[in-house]
Parts: sequence; C-alpha cells; structure tokens
Amino acid sequence: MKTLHILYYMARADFLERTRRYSFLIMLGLVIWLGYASTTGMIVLSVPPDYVGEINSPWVGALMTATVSLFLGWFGFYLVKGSVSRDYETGVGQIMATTPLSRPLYALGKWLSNFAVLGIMILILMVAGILMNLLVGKSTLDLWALVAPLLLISLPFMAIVAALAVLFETIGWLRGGLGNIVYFFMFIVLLVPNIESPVYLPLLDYAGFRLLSDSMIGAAKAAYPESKGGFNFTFGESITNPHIFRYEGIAWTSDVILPRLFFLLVALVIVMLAAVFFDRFNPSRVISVKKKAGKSSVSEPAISEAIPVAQVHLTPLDAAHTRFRFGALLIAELKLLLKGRR
Amino acid sequence: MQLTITNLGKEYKNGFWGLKDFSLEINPGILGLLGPNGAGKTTLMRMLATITQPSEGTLKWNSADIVKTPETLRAVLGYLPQDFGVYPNLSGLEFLEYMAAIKGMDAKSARRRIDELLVVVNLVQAAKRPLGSYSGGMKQRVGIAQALLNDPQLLIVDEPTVGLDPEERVRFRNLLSDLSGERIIILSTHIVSDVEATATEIVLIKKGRKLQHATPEKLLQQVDGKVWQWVIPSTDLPALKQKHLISGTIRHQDGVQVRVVSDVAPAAESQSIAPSLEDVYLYLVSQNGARP
Repeated sequence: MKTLHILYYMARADFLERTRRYSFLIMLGLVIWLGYASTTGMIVLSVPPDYVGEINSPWVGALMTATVSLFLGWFGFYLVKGSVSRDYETGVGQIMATTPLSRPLYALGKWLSNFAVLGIMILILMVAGILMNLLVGKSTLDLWALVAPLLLISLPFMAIVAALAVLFETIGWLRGGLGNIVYFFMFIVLLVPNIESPVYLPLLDYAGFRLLSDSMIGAAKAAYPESKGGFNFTFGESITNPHIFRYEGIAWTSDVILPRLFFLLVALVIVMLAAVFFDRFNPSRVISVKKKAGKSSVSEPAISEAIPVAQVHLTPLDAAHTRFRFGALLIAELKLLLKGRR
Repeated sequence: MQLTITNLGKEYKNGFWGLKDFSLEINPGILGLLGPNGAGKTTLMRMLATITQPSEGTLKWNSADIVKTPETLRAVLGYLPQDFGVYPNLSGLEFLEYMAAIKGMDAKSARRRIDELLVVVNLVQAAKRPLGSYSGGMKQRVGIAQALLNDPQLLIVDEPTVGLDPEERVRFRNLLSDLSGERIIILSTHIVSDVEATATEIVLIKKGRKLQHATPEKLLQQVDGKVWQWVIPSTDLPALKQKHLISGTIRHQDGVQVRVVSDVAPAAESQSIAPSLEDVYLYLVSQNGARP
C-alpha cells in the first residue's frame, strides 16, 4: 500500500510537472493535428497500390494505432525523456537519495509518469478516431473494435518506449545527445527485420505493424484476390479512386493478445534494468582504498589559495575592445550543442 | 542518539582527496561546520546524508553502520543540499506532498505536517503558486520545509541561509535553535554569523582535514587577547592589509577603524578587544595555510 502511495505521488508530480510545460502543449497540438490529418485523409493506410479499407471502427482503430506506432514510437521517446535528468540537474535527486526510496521504485515511478504522458496522447488519438468514425464512417461505432488495437498494440509499445526513456537516462553515456541519436536509428533498424520477415514473429513485432498489415492484407485479398499484399502508411499522398475493401479488424484471440502482454513484461524488465544502472544520484564513483593503499596524503585542493586582492592588477578595458564577435559566439554555441545535456 | 565518524576519507576520480582522516563524535545539538569554499564540507555532508559512499573509514548511526545499511539512517534523515532546485511547474504544496510521499509518509500525517511547515517557513500565501515563480529565498524556504517533513532525528543543512533576506535568516536561525534538543543538526556554512547564533559545537575544516572541534566558547578562548582595534588613515589601509590579518573595517570621519587578529599588538595605539567567531575563523584558517 505504501509502495503504491509513493508510486502514485512520484508519477503524479512528474506528470503534472511535464504537462504544465509549453513543450507538452506543442506535442499535444501535434498529436491533435495527427488525429485531424488521419481523419482528413492526409495520412493514408493502404494495401498497395490502391486498396483502402472502408471507414469503419476496425479500420479507424488500425489507422490510429499505426499513427501511434510510427509517430509516438519514434518521437514520443524524446517527449518523455528528461525526467531523470531533471532530478540530476535540479538537485531534487540529491534529496531523493537521502530518503528510503529504492532504485526499483524510483525507476518504476518515472516509467509510470512517462507512460501516463504517452497514454494521454493515445487517448487524444482515440477521441479523434471516435469522431472520425462518427462523422465520416460508413457504419455505426463499434467502440471495442476501434479501441482494442490502441489498447493492445499501442499501449504495450508505449510502455516499452517509456521504459527505454528511463533506461537511457540512467546510463550516463546515453543520457545526452548520443542517446537521442542511438534511439533514432535503433527505432528504424529494429523495425525492419520484423516487417521484412517471411514468417510472422509476434514476439518481435513490438510496434504491431506486422500484426496490423497481415490482417489488412488478408482482408484486401478476400475482397480483391488479385491484390499482391504489402502495406503502405503514407503521409501527404491521397489515393484517387481507391479500391475499397471491408476490414473487420484483428481477431483478438489469446495467441494474439498474449504476445502483446509480453511487451508489458519486456517494459518492466527494461525498467528493472534501469534500476540496476541507476546510480541513485551519487555524484562520484567510489574508489576502493585497497587499490590505492600506498597513497595517504591529501592532494592539493582543486581550488587554489586566493591571492590577496591588493596584489592583483586588473587591466582597464576600453570601449574599443568591446565588440560583438559572431565567430566566438557560434563556436561556444556549437560546443554547448555537442556536449549535450547530461 | 549519536553519529560517529571514524577516519573518514573520500577520494575523487582524479585522485583528489576531498576529505581525509576525519573523525568526529556528534551528539544531539547543533554542530556548525565552518570552512572556506572547497574545504570538504559538502563532501562530508554528502557522505553523512548517504548520497555518496566514503572511500575509507566508517560512519555509524547509533552503532549501525550506515555505509553498509544506509536505510537505517534514511528513515530519520532530513537533508537540504547546497544547490537546491525544484520542479518549476509544481506548486509549493504539490512539491511538498511529493517529497512527503517519497519519504514514506502517509497522506494524512503528511498533509498536517505540510500545513504546519508552510506556516513555519512563511509560505502559506504562496503555497499554491508554481515554484517557478518563487524568488530564490522562497525556494530555499521550500527546501527547508522539505528537510523537516519527516521530523528528522538527523538534520543536515548545507548553506541553508543563502538567498534569505535578513529577517528570514533570523527566523531560520531561531527555527534551528527551537528544533535542536533531542536531535542532531549539522549546519554547514561559510557564514560565520549563522554558526555564531545557533551552534552548540563547531568544527573547522580546511583542505579536507579537521582543524578544530570545540564549543564556541573554547574557540573564542583561543584568540582571546589576539584581536586588536584602532583607527588609521585610510591611505595606510593597503599597507596594513599586506602585513596583518584584518577581520573588519569601519569607515570613520577621521580614518578607518580596523580590526586585526594578531598574536602581538600590531601598533602602539591598538587596543585589545573581545574576539568574535569571525576572528577565530580567520585566525585558525590563516594559521593552517594561506590567508582566506
């Protein structure tokens, strides 16, 4: 009970802190726009070359799920990353280090908060999907058919994204800009083998693209046997005179659901791994005395002794030597950029 | 209730010892840690607060080894770090609720304690405002409140009065005095007047070593008869600064009244006066190295 209480307050504080920022509002705006883009045909889900599902609840659910997997899977990481770093930067972490808060509990709290932020985004897309179904749908709203892929594909995937954000922040060299680059390429590199694989490997289909595409291809072939399969998720290209097929969605049997729940487990394993790497805000590494047994004297302090002010001469600076130097400013900014935030 | 430090040392990655051979027995009361910047105060505080582990030596809280089992101390510990930051988009109240939960307090007792502490640190009116809109002093007061949330038996405060206005500083000193009794308070600062007003014992640190550990009275005795005061022409001041350890100056119509710490009378007209802790600090620190 006490653990849940701590987790609740940790996730709540972190969630409130983030959702009150302008950057969150910008991301929120972007997600609302993604919802709008999906409903207005700017984002198109199709089986090549021009087989498109009839706008019904399963199709809208699939469209929104694909949107989450691609956009939030890729960029949601950057949205939620930073909560651990903030504790380092603000010094709040040093206070936490003096409390009974354990490493796993801290990592779990941060993960829950990340997950909640991404969950809000999914919720917005879910609402956009419902509106799309009601406004332009060809059939009545089937809430479960629309919501199921978001709950069973998107949520477990976002759990992994949220956990990876915590993991990256607890590993020193992944905390800064390098971690951002690593994730950017990792997302693409890990996605391809599963999509290209001749056999469906559910435990590798973390983003759910293969699960979605296989069910769509099956539906397209049932309506149009000549269709050759494949999966297109395009942005900005509308299809003129598409071949419309009826998509009934994914049959949510236990052998489909269990692999999806497996990804929740994967997320928890990643969180526990993060707890292992988490240094509990220890600003220094302990150096064993045994290794340096011979050394006993106190080294010179990093701060040198002050020279009396009376002995110091400050060269007067005239106005001719004070001017704006663009080159120096540029170099300084580049240095800041390359060093990243650690 | 006792905190025992034995031969404590901390070596950093670059081979620099932030603290070395440091031993101390701390009993209930207010212990003032005094020392110049870089002396090792924060290094010591971080080890006592179980944030970092020592490279050598032992730390015991009521005979329990807190290096091996830091949890025994963390449950009764309050800590205010030197560089205290906040979540700018949380209100003071939300932040304190958050910290109370992390400290393992239940919601009901946390709420009561937070309400009381907001009064103590004079933040009732601002409790629901975002912390980002707080002044430096207000943030510091939130820091003080969070350190006191769990009614700690060991309270460690690192430079707590930085950023506070004079009125708040006096208020905080009084609060510390009220809190002492059946608890240990360790107050690290380079503001001598804070220690002077509150500490029951003082430890002087320099270059990672303990210079002195004594009561304020004992420390004052060490420089008794070594503090001098007289008035000199202001033009003579630079030359005097080169020769003597000056602990204070006051401008007068007829020149500058100087306060000098010296083993012997620095001038024929100088008069011996009662020492202050500031004099003691400057004298002891300068004796163990260059002038601070």
